[in-house]
Amino acid sequence: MMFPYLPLAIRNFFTRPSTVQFPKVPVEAKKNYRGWLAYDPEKCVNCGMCIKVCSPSAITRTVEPVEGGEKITYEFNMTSCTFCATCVDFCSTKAIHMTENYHMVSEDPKDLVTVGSRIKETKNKNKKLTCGDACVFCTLCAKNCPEEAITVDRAEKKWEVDHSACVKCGICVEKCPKKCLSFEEPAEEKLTCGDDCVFCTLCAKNCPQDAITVDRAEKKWEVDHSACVKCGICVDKCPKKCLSFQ
Amino acid sequence: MSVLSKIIADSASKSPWIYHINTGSCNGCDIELVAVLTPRYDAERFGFKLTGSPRHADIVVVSGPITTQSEERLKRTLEQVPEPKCVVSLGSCPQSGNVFKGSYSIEGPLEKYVHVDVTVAGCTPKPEAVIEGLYKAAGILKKKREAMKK
Amino acid sequence: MIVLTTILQILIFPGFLFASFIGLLLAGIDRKVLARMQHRIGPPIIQPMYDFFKLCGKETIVPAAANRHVYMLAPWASLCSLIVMCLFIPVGGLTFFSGNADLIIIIYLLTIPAVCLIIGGSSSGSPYAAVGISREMVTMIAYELPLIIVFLAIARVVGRGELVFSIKTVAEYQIANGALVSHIALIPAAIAFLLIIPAEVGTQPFDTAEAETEICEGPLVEYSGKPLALFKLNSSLKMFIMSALFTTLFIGVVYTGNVIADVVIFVAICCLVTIICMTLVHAVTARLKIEHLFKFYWTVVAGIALVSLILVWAGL
Repeated sequence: MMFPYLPLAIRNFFTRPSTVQFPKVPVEAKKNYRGWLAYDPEKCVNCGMCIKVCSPSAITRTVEPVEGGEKITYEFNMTSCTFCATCVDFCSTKAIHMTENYHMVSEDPKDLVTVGSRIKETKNKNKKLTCGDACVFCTLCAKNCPEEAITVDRAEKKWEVDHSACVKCGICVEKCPKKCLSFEEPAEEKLTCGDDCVFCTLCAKNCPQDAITVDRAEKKWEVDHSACVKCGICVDKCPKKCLSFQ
Repeated sequence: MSVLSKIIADSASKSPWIYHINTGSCNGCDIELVAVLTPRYDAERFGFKLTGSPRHADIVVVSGPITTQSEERLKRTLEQVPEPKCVVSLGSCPQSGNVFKGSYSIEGPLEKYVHVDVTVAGCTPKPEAVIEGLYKAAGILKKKREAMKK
Repeated sequence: MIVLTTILQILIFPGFLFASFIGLLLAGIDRKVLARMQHRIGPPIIQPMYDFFKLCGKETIVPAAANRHVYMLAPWASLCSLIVMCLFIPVGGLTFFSGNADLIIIIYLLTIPAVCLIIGGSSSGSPYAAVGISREMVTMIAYELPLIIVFLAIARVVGRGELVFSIKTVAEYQIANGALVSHIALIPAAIAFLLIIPAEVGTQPFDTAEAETEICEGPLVEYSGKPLALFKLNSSLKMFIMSALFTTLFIGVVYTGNVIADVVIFVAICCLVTIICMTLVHAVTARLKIEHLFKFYWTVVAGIALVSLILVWAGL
């Protein structure tokens, strides 16, 4: 009969135990420990990518209309989270990060959530996604759009965006290899005259602001954009229907 | 007899015996629970002990989402634990089902069967967090014992 | 007056209170030393007392399939026999009960706690308890044989050719001739007795019968509350009684003149015996299967005790 641990047992009796006395001695988690989630609502652009990639569906978003825009609240439920940090990886603005806090113990599970909200103002709604001339219709923007708001037809060289679905997250702007996507204030519509113009001067005579100047002899048509109020009378009166706002 | 009842109430928090039920867990939380009894974390210095029978236990630690097969056994085991008792849910599975939510064989959160006294969240919780949770449960046991006396 | 003294002896010293206090202390020391050997801090030394009081405060649930009266009375019967045994042991040189056949009475009294555990387990009506009690029966049969051989050897040495079973004679012999453990013929008997102690008390590696996670604590599986507290107390009392028996029979009583000092020295020697034969063995071994346990006791331990008996009968 062999007792291989006997000298070890006797030796251990006289040495200091290797216990880390936890509640008396505070213990920190190691670097990069994936603990309690932290959320910065100011950086969040409400793209919803984190909700899509969360496998236990631990994230919920509520949108309430308030004065001046919408209040968007994200709630991260730690009692459902599996701490995989996929939401951290997929967040395009790095609004989510995991702290090293592992003390997630409570008598009431409602304490174990991270909540953040921000108010999204409506004036920002005016900026629209526009595609520049350098577009090669590679379809990368359409593939990466989380809301599937972009439609690109490579054969017919058409690029369209559904502005009501676009949440302006900016993922397409980053992914575009030609850097031709950007958010811009839409250009103001200006009065333009087409090629069918016969210089009949009917538009000039009917303009209430006298903004249009027509020279029949020299075949010149000019409009003063600052004076034009876009009433549309000239568009109605033109016999050739060559006036429009673009 | 008040000295004796005070001694009994104090002892309720100084000698909490644990019974562990695994209702379909992946075993990650179970490993962290028995790691708490190893020399490095040593929960036995607070008097914690794993028992073999639910009738001997004070704290019941449940891990795992409650599967259909283990639901009946869980209910019967919880009935066998004498008062005063404390239920601790370990990990995020008993609270919400974690990634198994909505599955055809998951019966739902532990709150449906018994009132959960302490929740230890994490997937898996660190052993220090498990010790904190058990320590809190031992404190709740003392209050329950004093309430029972009245 | 005699009645009052007897009642005080039974209840306080060396009866119920003293023996249970020392027994729980020994159990606590055993757990603490075991923890230190395993390189961790371990519970405080008075932890078994906290366990006892906590169990007193728990609800007692009697299973529907159980026989209620036997279930509740089994721990009381074993407590009574253990207290009576305490009165036979001279603590600090003071003997309370002494007669001509102390050792034989002790052999019978030592079987009662094990039988009460068997009865209590079988009355609870659980299949786990059934497995546990069959293992407990085998354990009892296993260690009774070497125990009787050891007592025979001691009786022969002390009686100088005759068989004398009185503990008082053992004590006087040791005062006159030195500790029994220093007799060459009785050293194997001392070793055999040291090996019997863990099986009697039910600590690892010989606790195949009870307190096992394989069969959910064996005979005690359906116990809760006060009966369980009493069973745990009985286990601690047995620890005290067995180490006290070893001290009395083999090491003898150390007389310093002061009763309190005698008692303290006695308890200290009991602690040492506990650490050597129970804690050290617990720390370095794993639990035995029941057939290995039986084989171990009826071959190795009985063989060692027989060697001692033969040497004694040969006149050494």
